[in-house]
Amino acid sequence: MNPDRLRALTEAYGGDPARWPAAVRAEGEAALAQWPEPPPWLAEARALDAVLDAYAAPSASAGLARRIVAGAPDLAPLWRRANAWWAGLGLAGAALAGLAAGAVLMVVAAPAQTTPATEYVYDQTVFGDLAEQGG
Amino acid sequence: MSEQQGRDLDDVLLARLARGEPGAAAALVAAKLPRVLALAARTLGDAAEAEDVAQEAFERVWRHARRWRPGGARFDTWLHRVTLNLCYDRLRRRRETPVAQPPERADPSAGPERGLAAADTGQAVAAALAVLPPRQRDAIVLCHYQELSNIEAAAVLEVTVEALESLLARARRRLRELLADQRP
Repeated sequence: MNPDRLRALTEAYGGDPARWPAAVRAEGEAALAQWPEPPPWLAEARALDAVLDAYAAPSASAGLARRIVAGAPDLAPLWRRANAWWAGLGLAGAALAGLAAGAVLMVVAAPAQTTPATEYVYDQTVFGDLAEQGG
Repeated sequence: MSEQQGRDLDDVLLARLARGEPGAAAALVAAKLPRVLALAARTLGDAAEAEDVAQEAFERVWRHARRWRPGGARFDTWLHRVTLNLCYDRLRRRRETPVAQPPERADPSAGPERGLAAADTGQAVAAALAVLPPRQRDAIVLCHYQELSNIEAAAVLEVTVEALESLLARARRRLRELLADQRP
């Protein structure tokens, strides 16, 4: 690579050969290595690179990614969305059936209350039945 | 990551998105949002506006997601083009809207003394980029900061590689002048 092309590359892409076009990178690095000491234009390019690198990109604010993702469309095929819908419906149905079965069991299996609940509570003490104790 | 690896990863993410796989949108946003935001912020010089642009850019991604074909135009290049166009719209609106008080920017020629914190140097660079001719600024942002290859950057800017090199060389020459006070 001739010195003019080497300088042109440096002036366009900077002083770091890693930033040069892949097709000429190796050749450019080899050409640079032959210089006894870095030429002034190379040092200038590297100094400018260092200054440019001080300009850091901002980080995304909290919630930006979430807001963007929330706007994404649901591209799942119809059959998968239908499956999900049926699965949801099945779960809801199972839950309702469970509730109904529970209610029926309560009615059928629970013993009939002969004593009003409030009276039961008031008639019982840690020491036994008040009526039996003659209290 | 090589250019080819990046392309393959983009294709995989887009294919997942097009299939409607759960988590695909979040994965794509995680991979691309920092780049989109960086491009918009350095083009506009305004972080808040850059976030709006990033959101709009992804709205376009969502709109085109189903139609994306792997092996066609590179997604990353397309996304850069879309983001830059959105930035141009905002820059045009800024020029058309008279402002009572222009946004505060550091004067790059009157930059602070040497040995300043990187944040101050960063501000000076932002101000210097803002005064570059737009095509020169875009060339520097795409090649130096976004690290696009010369072929990709030329494609985004719709110029030849030779024209891109000319833009870069002129931009760097002007930046050297503007940032002379910032040099170590």
